[in-house]
Amino acid sequence: MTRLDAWWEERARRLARNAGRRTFLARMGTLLVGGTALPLLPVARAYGEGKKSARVPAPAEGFDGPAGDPKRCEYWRHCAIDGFACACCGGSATTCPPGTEVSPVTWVGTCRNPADGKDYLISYNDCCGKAFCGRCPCNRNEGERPDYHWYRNNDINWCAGARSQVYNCSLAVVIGQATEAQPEK
Amino acid sequence: MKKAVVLTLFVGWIAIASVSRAAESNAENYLLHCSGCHGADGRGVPGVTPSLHGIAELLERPGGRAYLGRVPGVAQAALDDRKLAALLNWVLTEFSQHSADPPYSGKEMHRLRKNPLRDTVSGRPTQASTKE
Amino acid sequence: MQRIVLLAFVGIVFPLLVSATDPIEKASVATLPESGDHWVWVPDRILQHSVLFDGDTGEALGMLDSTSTLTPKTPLFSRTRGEFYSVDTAYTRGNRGSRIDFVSIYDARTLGYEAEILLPTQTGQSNSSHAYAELLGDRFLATFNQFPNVSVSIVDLEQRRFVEEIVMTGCAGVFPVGPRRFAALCGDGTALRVDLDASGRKQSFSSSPKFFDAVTDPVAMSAGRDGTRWVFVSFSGQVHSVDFSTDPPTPTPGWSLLDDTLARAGWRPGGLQHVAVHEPTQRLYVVMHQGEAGSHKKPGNIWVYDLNQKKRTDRFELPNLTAAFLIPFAKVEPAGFVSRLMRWTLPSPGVHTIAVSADASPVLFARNAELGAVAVLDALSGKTLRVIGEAGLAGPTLRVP
Repeated sequence: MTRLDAWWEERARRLARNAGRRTFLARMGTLLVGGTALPLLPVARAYGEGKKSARVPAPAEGFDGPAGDPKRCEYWRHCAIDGFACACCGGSATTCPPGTEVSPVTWVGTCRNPADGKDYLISYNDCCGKAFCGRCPCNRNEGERPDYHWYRNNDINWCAGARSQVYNCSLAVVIGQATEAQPEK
Repeated sequence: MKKAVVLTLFVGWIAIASVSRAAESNAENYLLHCSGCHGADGRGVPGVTPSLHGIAELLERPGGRAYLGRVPGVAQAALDDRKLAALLNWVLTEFSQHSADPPYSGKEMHRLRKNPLRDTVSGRPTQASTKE
Repeated sequence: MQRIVLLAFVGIVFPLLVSATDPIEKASVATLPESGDHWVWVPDRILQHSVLFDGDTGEALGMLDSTSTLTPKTPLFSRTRGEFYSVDTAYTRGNRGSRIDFVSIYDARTLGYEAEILLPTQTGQSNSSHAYAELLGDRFLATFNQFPNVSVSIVDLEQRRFVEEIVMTGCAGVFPVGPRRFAALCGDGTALRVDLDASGRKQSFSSSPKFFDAVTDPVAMSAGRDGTRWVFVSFSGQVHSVDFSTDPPTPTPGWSLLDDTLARAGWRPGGLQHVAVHEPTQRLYVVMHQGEAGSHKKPGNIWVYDLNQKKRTDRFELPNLTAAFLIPFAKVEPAGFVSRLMRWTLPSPGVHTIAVSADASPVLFARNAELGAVAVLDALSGKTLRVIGEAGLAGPTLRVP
């Protein structure tokens, strides 16, 4: 960040405090998308508060080969999954099997989508409350780190916070686009 | 005159671009480095992970400013000092509607993160017992 | 004469009559012999128990159940107390209900349940669960917790009660160093030494200088104990030995498992419990494979290093564990043609996990986490002594009690 960046950031922060942050961000986003070809805001979904926004481009999906198949360990989102792929267990890459619960805590990493060449933020939420799904066990560890770097660890039972912390299977949810791969890669 | 207009527009464009880039990278860094435990909305999970809403209150307590830089979730994040400072400042304004005064700088973050706090529970700053 | 007849009746005829009405055999319960140097616990994450095997015979000796729904934590053994300990998590209705965390105490000869110690903390759960539950000596047991605090719970086995929770945010694991001292690895590239007072409460923390980088080249949680030192191995193959007898702990300069040629060929350490140290001979065993960044949990073969000379001394050949696992399922004659064919043709994927016994003629146990078979090797020569088949279904850990 340059000094100019820092200065503008501070300006913006003050402006935002006065204007209401979400409105500000939303308007700023609209302005930017309308007026320039700047990198797209990857987090609009988190801040859009229900307003569906086209500002987060969805990753390319449904392409041929194992990297396009959520039931395969080679699925592009599974680059650091450790567990059973929920798509084989009655759910999908983004839905837990019936009767289970999505873990409210999770870990996040990035995977590159081979079809569009972009990195995406992947949230590996566990599905909890039923015993091992037992199908499609996968163990990929790109950018995965040991327990002391917990927020990139896939060995930990991330069902903490669910009513029952019994592990069933793992999701791979795209929560945004990343401007670059995570630093561990 | 025309030149001046173009120049103004250009400067304006740069300005907006840099603001957006900063906000954007902070929001993205938040999702990548913090949101897993604290949630995309910063609210955490009661009894499991702490909420980031209202943490600015810690800044008012003795040792609070250092605490926020030394908690391992901050100190051990995989970000350089400058980006980490920007992210912490962003988290404070985003979830506590309050900014550190002055904002955390990369230099300050460099100093604080060298010495991560291990006992974050008893080391958490409490309300100043004596109020002048 | 009459007396002789009577005596003969009492001594010979009567016992015959009585024994004829008794069953030939009577069901009873076995007990374990005095603990052997070559015993090994084989935890199973599917069957939810740990089976104790004798590496010298390959026979199963007994088992301990677990209520954990992830990999059971390997049972801990105190020779002095004559007890095994199992750190467990359970729900009141199987997989739902309220959660309880506890330490179960079993008699080391009968394997019978003796008592339990309830934990007010929630024990951490992980697939590999290295250094998640350990004995520090014979009195204190320590468990690693992840939520809501990253902490260690201390349990007093003498008084059979929970002592306290020691918060150590940003660090992980319990690496025992002494009866009242353990270490942990931290995300800032340091190791933490934790000292307890006589009652098991935290006395002090002491951080080592930084010796690794958690982002670029982290050390694995699987490590080997060398007295008051722990030998940590990084993803790229750097060996960091840290002495925890000093305050602060002293990391010795790192050295590499690989020369340039091997490193260029992509050799690197990996697995799930892929590091072991035999202290008396200063041998370091590491599971090695050819891979790339992100392959740090892939199985491989066993390489042997001398910790003092800091160089490789041997590479061990592994038996075919896929065949050993599948032959009992295939119901074919173990010594027959089909079995031999299976051993010859089935791919042998290497091992994730090793454990070495501590005695003077040590054995090395090795398993692949996806296969229920354990190889028993002579830890000095590398010769395969036997393969234990039907050793469960899957599991990433082993422990020599």
